[in-house]
Amino acid sequence: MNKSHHVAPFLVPLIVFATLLVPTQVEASDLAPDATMAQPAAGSLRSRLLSRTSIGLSYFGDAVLHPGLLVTGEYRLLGSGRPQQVFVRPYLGGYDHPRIVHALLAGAEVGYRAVARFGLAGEAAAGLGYRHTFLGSTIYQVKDGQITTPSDSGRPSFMPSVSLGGGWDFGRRGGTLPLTVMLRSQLSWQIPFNTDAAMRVAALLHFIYSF
Amino acid sequence: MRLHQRLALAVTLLAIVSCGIPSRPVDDVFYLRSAGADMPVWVRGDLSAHVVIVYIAGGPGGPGMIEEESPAFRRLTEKYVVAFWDQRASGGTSGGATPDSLTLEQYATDLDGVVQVLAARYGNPSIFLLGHSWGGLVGTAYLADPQRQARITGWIDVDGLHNMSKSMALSRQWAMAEASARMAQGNDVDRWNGDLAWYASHPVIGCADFRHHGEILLALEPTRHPEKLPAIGSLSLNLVSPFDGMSTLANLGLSVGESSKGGSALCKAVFTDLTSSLPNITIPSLVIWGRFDRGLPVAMADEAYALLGSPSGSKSLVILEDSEHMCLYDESELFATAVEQFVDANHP
Repeated sequence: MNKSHHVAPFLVPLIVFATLLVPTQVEASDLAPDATMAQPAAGSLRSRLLSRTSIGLSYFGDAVLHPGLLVTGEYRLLGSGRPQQVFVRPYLGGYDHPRIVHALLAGAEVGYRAVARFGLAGEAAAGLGYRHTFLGSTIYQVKDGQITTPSDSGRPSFMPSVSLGGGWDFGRRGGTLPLTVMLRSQLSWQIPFNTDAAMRVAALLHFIYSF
Repeated sequence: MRLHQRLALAVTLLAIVSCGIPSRPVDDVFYLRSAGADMPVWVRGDLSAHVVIVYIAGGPGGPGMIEEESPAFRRLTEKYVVAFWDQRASGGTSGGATPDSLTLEQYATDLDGVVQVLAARYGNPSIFLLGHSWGGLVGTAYLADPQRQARITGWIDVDGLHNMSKSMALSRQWAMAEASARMAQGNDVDRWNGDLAWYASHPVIGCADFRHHGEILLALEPTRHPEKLPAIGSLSLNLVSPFDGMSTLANLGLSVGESSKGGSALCKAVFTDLTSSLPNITIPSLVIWGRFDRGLPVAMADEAYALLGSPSGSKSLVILEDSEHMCLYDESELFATAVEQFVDANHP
């Protein structure tokens, strides 16, 4: 298990790079074309890269209401601009369970998204990440009657996750706004938590802007 | 002085006279770091009486913070401050405490840290310990040390543990008698026959047997007031409070796993016999018990009350007649009244 945790983050950029080398025709044969969608841009590497890329901002609610924010990227490995897409999504952010814990998150997900012609979108994703948690209130330590307040360098943990979401692609059906809004629910794990693992649930409201 | 000025003065004076001491609301969280565990303590209530009640939850593994929503503690926090302490391997405690740190002495040392921090943080209030079930054992272990006992104003033992072997023997005895009676009535003969056979092959209830024994007790006598019991899924607790439901579930798994593992440090802790320590507890004490507690039978309340070293005028026993093990939920008003009367009678 530990081995896969070490290897997986290095695989993500390799996969992204590999997909840049894959000709657009391969996508077309893999996935059904959507006549209403613009074809992926051919030409320079830069324009091809941009046409497959999105950025996003997400409210990240640990246990729904412990507020947080994620900045996300998205690179469509397959099916960019088509009804079915496979994407990789790096993220960076954090959340706050007031007075209990502050957490920093970084990682990447690989996901599948299906978009109906009229804009309805659904996606499923799985990811691997890193979670660093800091205690959210003063820490006391008592030794021989002396009370001290030690500093907190936080605790590292792995963060495998799965998520499901649904939303709306405003760029569909003649829409000109290249924005997708998704409501996602995420189940993740904090490994280690004490000597074991803890499960976490989160709700995300995700705004994705496509170039 | 004009009429409206007189009226304002009168209202102000009336407010001062009627309110007496102004309220001092407290709603704090701090962590105690001890032997690998970072334990949150939610301190909530009114400090105007200068009383802090430290709640020592049952379990092992029961979250302290979940009781903040209980009607009994809601009432107590209107008058006093209650410190809801999540023990190691329970509630929102994190940090990586190992299973071999789950010893009774370590729990008592952790509690001492909580008490000392509370004393320093809130200007040396009168501190009462209130231990429920397993919390009774932790409280007794803590108070067995005279130096620690000197920091505490009063001890409230709620369906608390002090001798697990004896409690289990009495509980087993009741279950067998009850199962035999059901068989004699011709009810579910096969089921009770099977349970009696299980007891015959388990003359002593050990850590690995808790679960099965508990299932039999529940089958014999279903929970009296299930609707009153705390819900780990409470939305208000999980969404907008320091309570951490997901950590609580993870810790519950750890604690239940360890306490049901024969030979583990936590199993040994649960079976520590502190009967001989009870006479050393000489501070004012209150024993509260549910009449229908089948796990820690009410005979254990009589024993605790009889053996506590508190002078006869400063110890009392309250049996709640429509309650079982979770008596603070079953009869929350009577429970809170008993605690209030005890605290008011004993704090300076």
